[in-house]
Amino acid sequence: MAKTRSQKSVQSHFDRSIAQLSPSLQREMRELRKQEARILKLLSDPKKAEQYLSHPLQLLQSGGIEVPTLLKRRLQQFDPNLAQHLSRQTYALPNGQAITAHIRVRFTRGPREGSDAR
Amino acid sequence: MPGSQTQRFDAVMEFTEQSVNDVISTFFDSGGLLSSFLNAVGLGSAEGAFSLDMLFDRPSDVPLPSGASNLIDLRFDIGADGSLGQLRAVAGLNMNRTTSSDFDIAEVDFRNQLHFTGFTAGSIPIPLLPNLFANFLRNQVGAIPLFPVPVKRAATDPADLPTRGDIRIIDDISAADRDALAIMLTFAGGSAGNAAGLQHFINPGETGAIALFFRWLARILRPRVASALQTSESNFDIGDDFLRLNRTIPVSGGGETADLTRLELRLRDGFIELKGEIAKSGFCYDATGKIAGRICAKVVGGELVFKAEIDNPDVDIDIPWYCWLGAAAIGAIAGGLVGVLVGAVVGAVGGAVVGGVVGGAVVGGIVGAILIGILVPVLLAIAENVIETTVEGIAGNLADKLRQDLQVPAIGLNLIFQRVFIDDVAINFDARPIEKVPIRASGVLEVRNGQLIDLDNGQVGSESMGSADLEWRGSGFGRQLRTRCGARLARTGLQDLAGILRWKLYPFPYADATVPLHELAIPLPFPDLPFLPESQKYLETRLVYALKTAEGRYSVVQVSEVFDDRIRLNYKTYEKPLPSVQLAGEFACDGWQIPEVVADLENIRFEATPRANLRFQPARAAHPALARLGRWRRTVTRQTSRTGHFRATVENFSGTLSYHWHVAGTDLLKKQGSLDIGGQKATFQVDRDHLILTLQNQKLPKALEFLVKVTVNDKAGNAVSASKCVRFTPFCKSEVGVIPVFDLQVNTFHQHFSVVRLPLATLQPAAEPPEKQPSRVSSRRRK
Repeated sequence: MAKTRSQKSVQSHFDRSIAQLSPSLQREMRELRKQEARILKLLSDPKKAEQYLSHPLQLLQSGGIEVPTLLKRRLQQFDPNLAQHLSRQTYALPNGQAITAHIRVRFTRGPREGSDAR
Repeated sequence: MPGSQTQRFDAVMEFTEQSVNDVISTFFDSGGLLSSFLNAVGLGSAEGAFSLDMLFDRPSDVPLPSGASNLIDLRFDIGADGSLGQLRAVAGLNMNRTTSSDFDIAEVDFRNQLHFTGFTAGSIPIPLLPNLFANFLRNQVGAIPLFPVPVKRAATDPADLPTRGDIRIIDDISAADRDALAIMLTFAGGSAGNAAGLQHFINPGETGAIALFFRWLARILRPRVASALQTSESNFDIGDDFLRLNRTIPVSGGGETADLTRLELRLRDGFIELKGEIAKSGFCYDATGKIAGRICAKVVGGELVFKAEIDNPDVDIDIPWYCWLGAAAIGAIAGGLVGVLVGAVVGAVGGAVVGGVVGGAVVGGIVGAILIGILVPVLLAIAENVIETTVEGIAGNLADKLRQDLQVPAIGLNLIFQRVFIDDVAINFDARPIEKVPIRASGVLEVRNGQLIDLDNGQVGSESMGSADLEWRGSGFGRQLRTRCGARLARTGLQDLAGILRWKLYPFPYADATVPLHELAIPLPFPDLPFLPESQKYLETRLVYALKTAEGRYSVVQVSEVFDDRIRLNYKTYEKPLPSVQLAGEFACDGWQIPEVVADLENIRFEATPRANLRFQPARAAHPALARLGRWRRTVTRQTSRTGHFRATVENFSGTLSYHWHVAGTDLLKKQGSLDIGGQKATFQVDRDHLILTLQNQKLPKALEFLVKVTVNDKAGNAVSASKCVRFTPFCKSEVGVIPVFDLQVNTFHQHFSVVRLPLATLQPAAEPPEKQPSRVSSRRRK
């Protein structure tokens, strides 16, 4: 049954983020979120954050985070090359110059519950 | 240090001693002034020939009033070789603010500040001549107007005409002796700086420079950058060395909108540093992008060009950890979807992976669409459009005003921009006085082997020609240019024919001479190659030769092209010192253009630089960073001034002169009055050599064409006259640079150019993952 507008508005950013996932994956994401504090501590290390971009499952497991089964299966199939696009991008400008954007990604807790204005 | 060159004046123009020497020499030569004095005191054998050495050093060997300042020391050698004596005058420079309400005129003030005159023949002082020379300078010359500074006292826009001009002689008493004349300009909102602190800032080899105080540039740029960003001027702060945004403002372009959180222009040593920061948030990201760059300037073909060199940008992206994990999970499920989104990974995270949550639309990649799509074009627009248009406008306006303005008597200077450097922003130029002396004949002559040249009449002929000055004789590599019939030649060693002024020809040692072919051109090593054009068989030296013709006129020649059977020769022959008058004048367009910001592109042209000239290079090749995108231009149609100024310049006509003006069939017998020109009413004012005509119609005057004639008489009844056909057209057109608002500039940037994302293959190989990661196939196998 479709949710009403008021129901939607009280959804957290986390809930809305995973709304498109299957119910099983949503359950597993909620399960995983119970370890959020440990995950964020792990990701506060820039090297590990970089590893999380290309190999999220490997990083979580190496940090002792237990990843639920279905989610683990999905993450095993993640193509690590896709993360290269978040490490640098090079553009040729019309004046003949080529510039390379250096990209730093930082993983966060997400907006506070109730303060999500997005 | 900002303001060190300008000493906090808004702008300072400096001229070397040599360039002021050239202006004063041209003044005394153009009117035949010195010649008339020399004739009057019995030194007619000099034939008007002189050379001048002018010094800015304060003389210590002559008595001077204690308060005398801004002094010049003029030392004339009289006669072609200086053997007839030496004239000397020490006088002060002054900024004349009373002659015209529209100009402050930098002048040598003989009327009130002539402190010393002298005359020596060899080393013997001649007693009476100094007084005669002083009388001549005070009463006949009065003042030498060097540089007219156009002013508008009530101006409120710092980009409008200056409110005031000041003058200072920089007398460098150090061993370097780097003296110069400084003209200091103050614009609306500015204040006078420290004149005593000014120093010579002209590059060696150049004759002048304009330096702009960065704070003044920032005052001009602030409203223009603000308007172009469609925000308030108060959102920008300025300082001596910076212009910066003081709050976050929205900025858009290419269909995207973001927040501009920082924009700063800062003066550095040799360049203007440019910094921009932009921020954008989406459902699953907060991103900021930073770009820095340098604005450099150069002069290309006499035009000022400002270019931005952009550094690699830095992008910081904050992503909630679960968003990325969700993206990874969905990417695995719908690999095709992720594949589609490869080009915009950040957008994929924000918009698509978590998907329908934000409507399923793929937002553009932050880096590509926002940073490169908006910020880079904005920075390029600031550098290549706003700053360039503004500085070019200011420098161009100053150069136009110095070229010639007949409202005030002045020599007129052509400023040819040579080099620009930023520290303050300084533009070096070559200042060339415009001489107004009668030319007997000039042009290009084609001379076949064996032919003779008559420079007095511009004729080429055979041996039967009566009055030849040069002969092109001989054959093959043995050909030579030889003087004939008493003509005499001197080697100037110069190559710039246009830069020669008549008075520069006087001191050369003239003699019968032969100039061999190898001095005029070097034959190229393989002249008989069939594919080589005839004109490329010789490399011409383009040396300029001075001549005194057989009939006694000064002339200059330059062999511009050499062929096997002929030469091509540029020449200019000055008229003898005969009494004559020249007439100049027009109804002019006002040339001072303030660069303006426009909100629509109606009647605006973007003249994109052709792709071929951009020298686009692939990412790995060294990029030239010199190409530019193009220029924004507009044709401005304005009403022509209804007031025309006309000036008569006499040559070798001395004594008390009277001027009689005749306009469209009417003799102007009074000093002022009215007349009818082609059915339209006009008024006139006559001040000896200066005629001012003003059309009086309430409505727009029609186009007119009429004759202006001036006749000059001396007391003995001798007369010379000149006439000029004057055309008045109600409108005049000129090409100006404009500054479109930035979202229009960014859109046009993308229409014409687009930024190309280079494939990942061109990047460095990605680092190995820290731990060995099994491939998708092997991981499946393990299951």
